[in-house]
Amino acid sequence: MTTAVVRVLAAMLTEPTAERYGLDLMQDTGLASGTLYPILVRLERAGWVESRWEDIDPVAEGRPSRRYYRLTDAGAAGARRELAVLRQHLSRATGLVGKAREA
Amino acid sequence: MNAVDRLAAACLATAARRWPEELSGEMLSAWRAELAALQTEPGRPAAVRAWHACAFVVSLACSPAVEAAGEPERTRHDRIATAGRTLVGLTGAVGVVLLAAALFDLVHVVDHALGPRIPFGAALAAGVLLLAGAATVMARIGALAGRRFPARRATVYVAAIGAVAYGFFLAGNRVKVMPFMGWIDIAPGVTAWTLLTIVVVGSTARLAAAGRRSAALVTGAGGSVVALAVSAVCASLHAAAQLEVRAGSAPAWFVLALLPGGRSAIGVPTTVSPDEPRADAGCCPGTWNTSDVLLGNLSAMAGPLLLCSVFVLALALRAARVAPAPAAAPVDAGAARRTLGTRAVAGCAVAVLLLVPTPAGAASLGGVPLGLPLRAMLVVLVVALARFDGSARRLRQVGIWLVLAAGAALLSLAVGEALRGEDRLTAALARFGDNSTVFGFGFLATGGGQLALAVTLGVLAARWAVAPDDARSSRATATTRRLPAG
Repeated sequence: MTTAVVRVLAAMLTEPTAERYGLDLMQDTGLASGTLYPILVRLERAGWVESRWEDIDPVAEGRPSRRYYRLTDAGAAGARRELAVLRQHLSRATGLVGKAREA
Repeated sequence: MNAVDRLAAACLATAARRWPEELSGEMLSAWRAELAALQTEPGRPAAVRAWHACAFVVSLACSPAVEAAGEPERTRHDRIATAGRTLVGLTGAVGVVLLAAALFDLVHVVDHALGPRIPFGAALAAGVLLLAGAATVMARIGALAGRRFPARRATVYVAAIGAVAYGFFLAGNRVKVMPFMGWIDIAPGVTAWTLLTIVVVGSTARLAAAGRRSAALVTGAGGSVVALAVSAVCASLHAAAQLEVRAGSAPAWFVLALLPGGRSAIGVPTTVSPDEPRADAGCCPGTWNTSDVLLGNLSAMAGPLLLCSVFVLALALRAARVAPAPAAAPVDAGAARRTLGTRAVAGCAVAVLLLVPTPAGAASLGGVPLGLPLRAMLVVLVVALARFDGSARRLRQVGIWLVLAAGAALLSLAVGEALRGEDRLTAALARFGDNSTVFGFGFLATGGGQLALAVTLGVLAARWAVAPDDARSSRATATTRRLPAG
């Protein structure tokens, strides 16, 4: 799992049931559009994310419909699990660095 | 719609084309919606909105697309490997330009040697025959390269050849004997050739892939002549203005540049005294026409570009006959490492062979140093041995390569022997360096130029060092995979 994927999952986990659009996720994660969209597609293929078109009348709203992305239940559980494992690795690594410094 | 909006729309369309078919439509709609939101972001100045919109679309246009469903994800390692292969592939373009220039120089040298001794008609016929021979060599190599080259990338090859040719023409004129071969002459000529040839090669490949081979041949040949003629005019406008050559004669410049010099009178007669420095005058002392300078300069560029056109057309026609290859079979990691190792050893050996200086007082035959033929033979031998895998079929190939090596050595000796009288060998080698007889290899006078050439030839040797195990079977498969005609 790359850092960029972790950032997307962490951003979506802040509100696991919320629907997010691409620009919103770009602002939250700081990722460029060319990095974010391939990640969303891969997560959707893996069943971690689902997407739908915004239900509006583009003529009445004066803008095109947006694509919304949301974590699935399996995706939210998987993301929590992966982030927990990552945190464990990080704390272990930080502990080792701290011990080395003390020594 | 302003220029930024048009650029944004074009970038999104480009990005969507690169994505898998099942996703491109949906993603394009999603991106357009986000772009519209960025362009109407409230509370931001117009310049900031335009900047955000540009960043959004350029990132999509430049980033790698997601892989098609079912395909493995491309890692960073894969992308670095692709970039490495592209760089190695560029040496192919360098090799094509060097070979085209060397072959045209050979035609040029023979024309110079024969011209004063035989009637004009015979000299013309000899020149045409030699040029046809050089074009045949380039077409054959182009067809060989096309067997393993995707047709859709033929236009990329043209762009690479154009870039290399630009550098080659500039570097080749180290000693300024071609007064009108600066960037102001070379850039318009090579740019025109590259852009027009990309269009011609693209059309030719599409027609050939559709089974319309006659139309492809006519389009390729006709379009290439037009591209070369336009390129010749673009490369010569600056010189023609300086030399007072009639602009009305421009359509004939390309053809006249390929004919023996000293026959046209489309400029103004000029007399150069014997005291005038030759390089500044751009021609020999005596009375001559300024069009000779124009056409002499032009031939140094038009000749190699003509041979490059032949190469890319042959490549595109051959590549279009082969359908896209199926997904690659899993590669045996051990075999891949051995292949890479063999290529590296062969490439380094060739580069070192070319760079080792011939010691003073080295053996000679009839006054001709043996260093050159010996090196030619060793280079061919290294490549032949690298291709040998112990099979009987490869043993036959090694035999053929050995014959080729002996041929290369004998040819080198024969050329040396022919040039030997009146110390002509030294004079000829010196002229190779200062461009007074041939053009384009002036960079070999420097250590850096020699190193660059040795490395390039080493990489090319490494690419040829390991033939695919199924070279023959892939040829047979290619024949059966030909697309249906009509």
